[in-house]
Amino acid sequence: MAYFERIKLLWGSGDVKNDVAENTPLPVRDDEARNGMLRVLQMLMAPLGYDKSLQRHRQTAVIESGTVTTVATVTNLSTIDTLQGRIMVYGANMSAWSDCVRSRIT
Amino acid sequence: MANTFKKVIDRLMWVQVPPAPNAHAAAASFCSDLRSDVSRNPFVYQLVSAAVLNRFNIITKGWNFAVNPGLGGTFGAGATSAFAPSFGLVGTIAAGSTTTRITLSTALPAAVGLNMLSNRGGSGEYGFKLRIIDNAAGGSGKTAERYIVANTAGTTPTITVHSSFGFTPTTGARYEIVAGRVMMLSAGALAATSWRSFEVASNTLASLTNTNLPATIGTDSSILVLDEQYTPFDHSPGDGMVKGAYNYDTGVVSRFALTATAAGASTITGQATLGDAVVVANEYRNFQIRIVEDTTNVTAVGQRRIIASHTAGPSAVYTLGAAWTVTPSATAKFVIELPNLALLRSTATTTVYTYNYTDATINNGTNNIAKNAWSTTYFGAAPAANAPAGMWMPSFGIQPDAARNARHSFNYFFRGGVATLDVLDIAGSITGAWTGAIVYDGSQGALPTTGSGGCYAPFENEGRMFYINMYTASTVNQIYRFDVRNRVLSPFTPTDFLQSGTAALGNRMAAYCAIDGNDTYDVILLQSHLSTVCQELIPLV
Repeated sequence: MAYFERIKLLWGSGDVKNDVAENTPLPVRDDEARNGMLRVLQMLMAPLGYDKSLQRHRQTAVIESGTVTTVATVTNLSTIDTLQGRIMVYGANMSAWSDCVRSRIT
Repeated sequence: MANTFKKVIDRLMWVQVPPAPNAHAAAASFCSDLRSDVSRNPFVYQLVSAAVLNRFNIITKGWNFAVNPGLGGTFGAGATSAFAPSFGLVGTIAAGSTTTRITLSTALPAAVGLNMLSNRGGSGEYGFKLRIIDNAAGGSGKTAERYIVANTAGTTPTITVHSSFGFTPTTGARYEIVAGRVMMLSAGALAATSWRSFEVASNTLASLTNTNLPATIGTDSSILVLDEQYTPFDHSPGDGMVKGAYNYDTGVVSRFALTATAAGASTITGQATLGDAVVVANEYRNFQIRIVEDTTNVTAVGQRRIIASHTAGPSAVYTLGAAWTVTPSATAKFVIELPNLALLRSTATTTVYTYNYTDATINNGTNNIAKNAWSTTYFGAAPAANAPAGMWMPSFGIQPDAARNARHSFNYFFRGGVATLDVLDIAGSITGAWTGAIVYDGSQGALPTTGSGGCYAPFENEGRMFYINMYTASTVNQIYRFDVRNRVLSPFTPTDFLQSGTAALGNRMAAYCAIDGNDTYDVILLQSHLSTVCQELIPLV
């Protein structure tokens, strides 16, 4: 004997009963997808290595070659690529001097 | 003047130049040539130690080691240096001159290389300046200054100049190669090599007398050079302090002289109008009179005498410290110049050690100093001893005001360590006159302590400005300038480079003249404290 489930739709007319069929489907809520979206959002907000208390990433570098001995406080950039850093300082200073002073002497 | 700098709107700034070969260390010093025309020696010298004298090319901005000065004693507090343009190489010429060529008779102290004298440094476009005083019997009685364009090698080279002397120099005429000498003083116990000179044309070192200097030199030292080539800002070397209208020499730079109206055995009388007609009595006492042309009494030309006293103009009568060897004619041409003396303050004393770097005795009628000799009495003692960072500030570059409140004879001296400023008026009496603790504006901010130094820039700004680095570690505003005409000390454009470190002695500033046609500019070089970093500034206001 066949079994049919009959439900009353909330938006249906009084005392009217409809069968669940292709054109009258049973309303459902997809909790699985919602939970997935929330997890993605959480990952984006606090990815791996992110310290919420510091609001910074924490990373550990693995030096695969070479030797790091001591890293002191960086006080200057004496070399940029293979050039002396002072070249940039001199250049900027000379450029400013040219604009401010030299151009006033004709 | 082609200075289009807009006050208030534009701002001055220091520009970095290549660093010095040696960092500033205690007792190191700078010195430079303060001539205002192309004859200036185009280098700043840096005396680093007893064994290192460097030089900075003011045109190419390059540094190099100049010489090992071989100073004795113990280099340290009390050591210093100064530049003196005149009397480096003098003598007489041999036969065979032409209007553009002479051969030396008096040998140079060292052999010079072929054409070596025709490039004095800088950009190399000029040789050293040769002055011919045609004072031998039968000569023209004229003075001419020309630039060397060629020379043979050796100690008695044949020298060719860029243009005609205007006469053919006579055998036995006097020559002066006005290149200059770096005068260097060491410290510690006196040694035979404590006081030396480096002549820059022949590259000759010489040990000079140390008699009458302190037995042990210390504390700090400052030397004031009163050279005949140093003039007011709007004059040229050879014009003297009071410009005349007679054009006695037309080389690269024209030179002008006063015309005498009378002369006696030990006097000469100035102009009745214009020129020195405006001098006040004794304004130029202890200055020098030099005869630059006398076509009547030709052997009188070239004579130098110190003014013992003089009356006021018009027709000022200058009484000389010593009689003329040859009395000039009544219309001789002459100039009034600084007396070619170096004044040293040193070793926490009140003494003014006065050195004669000429080749003849300097005599003001009361005191005299033989050539290459020191006197401790020629000028009177200062009101207080010198201390670290004491410094001379001359005022020969100004033009005096009509009332003569400011004069060329005033030489200021910061005692060192305190704001107190004294002034020596070398014309104030026959031994000069010191005035202690003068009133000046800006004294509340003045503190020239150890680490401080300065330089006089007599080329622009009416010759008024003496630039000072009043050193205080890690303070931005350390640069000042003192107006030697108007007695005002004021802060000036600071460096971007912050100077720091425990204060160490040594003058790290020098001035030189930039020349653009008829325009001249002050240029200041500063080496940062305890550093190699060097910067230049052109004051446009």
